[in-house]
Amino acid sequence: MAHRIMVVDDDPDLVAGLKLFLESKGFEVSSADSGEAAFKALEAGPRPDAMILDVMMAGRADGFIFVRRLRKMEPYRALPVVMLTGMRQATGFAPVRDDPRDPVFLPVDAFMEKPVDREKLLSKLREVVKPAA
Amino acid sequence: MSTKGASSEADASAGARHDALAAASAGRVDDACRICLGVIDGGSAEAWPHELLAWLLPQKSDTRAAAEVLERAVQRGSPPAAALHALGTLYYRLGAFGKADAVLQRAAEADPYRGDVHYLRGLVQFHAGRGREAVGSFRQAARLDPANNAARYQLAVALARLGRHREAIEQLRALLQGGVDDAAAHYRLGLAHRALGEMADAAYHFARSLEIDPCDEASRRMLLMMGRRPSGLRRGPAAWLPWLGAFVRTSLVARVALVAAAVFVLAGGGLATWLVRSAEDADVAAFRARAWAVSDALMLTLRTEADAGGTERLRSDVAALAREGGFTLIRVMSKSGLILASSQPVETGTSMPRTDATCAGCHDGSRLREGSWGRFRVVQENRGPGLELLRPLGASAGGTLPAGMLHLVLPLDEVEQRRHGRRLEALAIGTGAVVLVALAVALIVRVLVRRPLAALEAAAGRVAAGELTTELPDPGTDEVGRLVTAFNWMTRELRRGADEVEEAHRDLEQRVEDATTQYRSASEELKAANERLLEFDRLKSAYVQKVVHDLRAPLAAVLISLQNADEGLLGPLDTRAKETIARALARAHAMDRLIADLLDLERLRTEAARPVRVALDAGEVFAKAAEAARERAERRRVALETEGLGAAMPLAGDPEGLASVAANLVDNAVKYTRAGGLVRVTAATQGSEAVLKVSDSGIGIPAAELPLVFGEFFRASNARAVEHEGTGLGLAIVRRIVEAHGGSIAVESVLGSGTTFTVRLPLQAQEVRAQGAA
Repeated sequence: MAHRIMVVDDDPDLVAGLKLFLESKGFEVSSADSGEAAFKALEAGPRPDAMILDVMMAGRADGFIFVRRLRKMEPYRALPVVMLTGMRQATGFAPVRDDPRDPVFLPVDAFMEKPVDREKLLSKLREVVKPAA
Repeated sequence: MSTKGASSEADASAGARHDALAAASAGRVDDACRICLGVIDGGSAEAWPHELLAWLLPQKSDTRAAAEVLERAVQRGSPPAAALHALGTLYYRLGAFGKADAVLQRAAEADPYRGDVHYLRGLVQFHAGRGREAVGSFRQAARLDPANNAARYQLAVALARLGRHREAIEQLRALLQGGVDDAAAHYRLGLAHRALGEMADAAYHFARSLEIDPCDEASRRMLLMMGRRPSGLRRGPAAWLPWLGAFVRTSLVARVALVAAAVFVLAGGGLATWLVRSAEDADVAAFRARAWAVSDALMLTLRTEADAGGTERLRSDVAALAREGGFTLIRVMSKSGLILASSQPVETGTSMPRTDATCAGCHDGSRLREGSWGRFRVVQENRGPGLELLRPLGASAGGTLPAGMLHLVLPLDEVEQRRHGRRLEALAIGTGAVVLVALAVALIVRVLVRRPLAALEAAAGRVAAGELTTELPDPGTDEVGRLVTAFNWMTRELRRGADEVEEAHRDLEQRVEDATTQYRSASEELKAANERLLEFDRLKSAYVQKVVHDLRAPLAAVLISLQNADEGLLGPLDTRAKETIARALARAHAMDRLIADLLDLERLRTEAARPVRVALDAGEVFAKAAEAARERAERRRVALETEGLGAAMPLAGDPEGLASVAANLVDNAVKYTRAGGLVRVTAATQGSEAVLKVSDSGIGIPAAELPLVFGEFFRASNARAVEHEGTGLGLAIVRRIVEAHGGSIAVESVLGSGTTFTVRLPLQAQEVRAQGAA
């Protein structure tokens, strides 16, 4: 059975590109264009195995707010989340870091830059969904 | 000009010179001058006429005329410095400082190495009130002629006039150390120290000056004004009797009283002697009067009573007179020496041997005090010493008694007693008078001299303490009065000087305050401007980040679509489409790179103050970065050699930042090295530093552009021809990351044969120490 990935991003072209790419790699992909839509989709089910989340989104809940709220919901406390951001991470001078052990930082599994490196994304997703498989 | 003409001209000149010198040495100065002027007017370019004039003219008593002559002379030809100097001297003597300065400037230009010209110019400038320039001239003079102590001294004076006392002191010290122990130098040193408030030093130098030159009234006055005894260093003859010496030296009254006492002791002695003398004279007169009275009485008796028992009567009279008059002896003798009557009846009828009335005072028995008793003689009678008087007596009227001699003796002790008493009296009166007069004189002196002097002393003390308003009441015209007038005058001058100084000080303070205010407002403006700039920079940074982010979002969509298409996820593509998409993808990647670099740079620019610090192994980070570039190097057929990359290099830093440093450098090296070339990456620990070297055998960087390589948007002129890709931000980012880690980066390059970048990063040990110290 294919792993389900939910892509939450307000850029339909990016969502379409990711969907095409991930589906070609054997994932089942659903999408939402805002935090509110994502919560609705989660309620409606089925439960995704991982989530790709954009930081900057239109609407009341951007990626940071969304993921904090998500972690407070019991079923999604451990849902693997890969966060995408237009900010630069590579220099290490970023204010947020992908260290899940540090409570100060965002409770996400990975931080990735936009434009996204497809190979990295793929390997990360395969890594985080493995236990479910 | 022919040789012959030149030589004849030289002969003529030599002749004139000879004549002029002869005239000068014969004392015919005017003739000599005339000859010199003639030669100068003849258009001679020789220096000697000018020099001779310069020597001769200042000797003339009529300075003005001399100046006019010399003035005319120096207008011709090119006068030597000596002539100009001489003219300057004349002008200076005439007080024409402006002219003197101008001519001396010419002299200095004619011969810049003449110290005396600068010295004279300094004097001129000093007297013209241009102290600052005078200082320059004196300094120059002293420099050119180190033996010119006068220049050094004047330099100090001019410096002091400008209020630069410290420098003046230095100059004077140098002068004194040079062996010139000059009173004037000490005096000036004293003044300078005094102006700086260094009173002990000032007093020392004034005293020293006074010691060298005891007539130095200025130093004495300064010492007095400073409340010091001007004789502090001097050893007077009274050093023997320190107390009396000091008393007499320090107290005018004591001196006057002493002199007065000496005068009056002499006068009193004289007075006493005179008193005693006159008293004795009175005694003698009284004794003589008594004697005369007795003899008169006896002669009366002789004359009147001669016949009627005259002898008896004479004898009883003699006895009575001796008893009443207190005489020791009354004796009447005949010329032959027979004693006719005597107050001592025993001897009556006997004869006196050797009785010579005319020589009564010539007895050998005459003794002391004879002189003081006039014609009287002191004799030794059996009733003690007595005073003897001999008087001739005429014969009695009846002829009963022959002419003879009256012999009287008064007891001396009575006279002596009286005389002694008189002496004591005179002594007492004399001494009393002396003492009284001395006291009176002292009192008068005290009132007339000491009191105004004390007031003056007190006033001087007040002035010295800075109370410049002190003035003494109008004093009259005597010596003390004149002193007081001079003092008041001096105080007024001091006050005026102090007022001027204070005014200048106030002016200066005002100016400083104005300047400070201006500076402050300028500083405030700068601060505000800087804040505006910083704010602007923050806004710009935020704006850049926002714009860049907004560029990245669509780029992300473009990239993923192109990648999908490239991979054939959108269906099969023909060759042209595939190629086009590949190119579009490359361009989109390049654009992404540029945006990422811009973001990095902006973030490094604004957030470099708080870089990430994680304990890491730089060797490992470098090794990974080098390996990541290996594929690209192989594709371009560039050999990639590494050395020492496995070694542990512990340091605190940002792993991704350091990785991008190494990656950037290695990528650059690979990019700009042609196929078949070599890129060497070496890492090593040198002391407390990790050193990463990336060298290539690439195209190199033009030397002129080397200093620019770490700038933003810089791309070497030859790099663009080789590679289209490249944002010109890579090395700027590398430099910022390295510097954020406390390291440094350097570049060496030879155009056409390769480039080497060297990065040095402090290792952890040092980092820890540095943090511990902070």
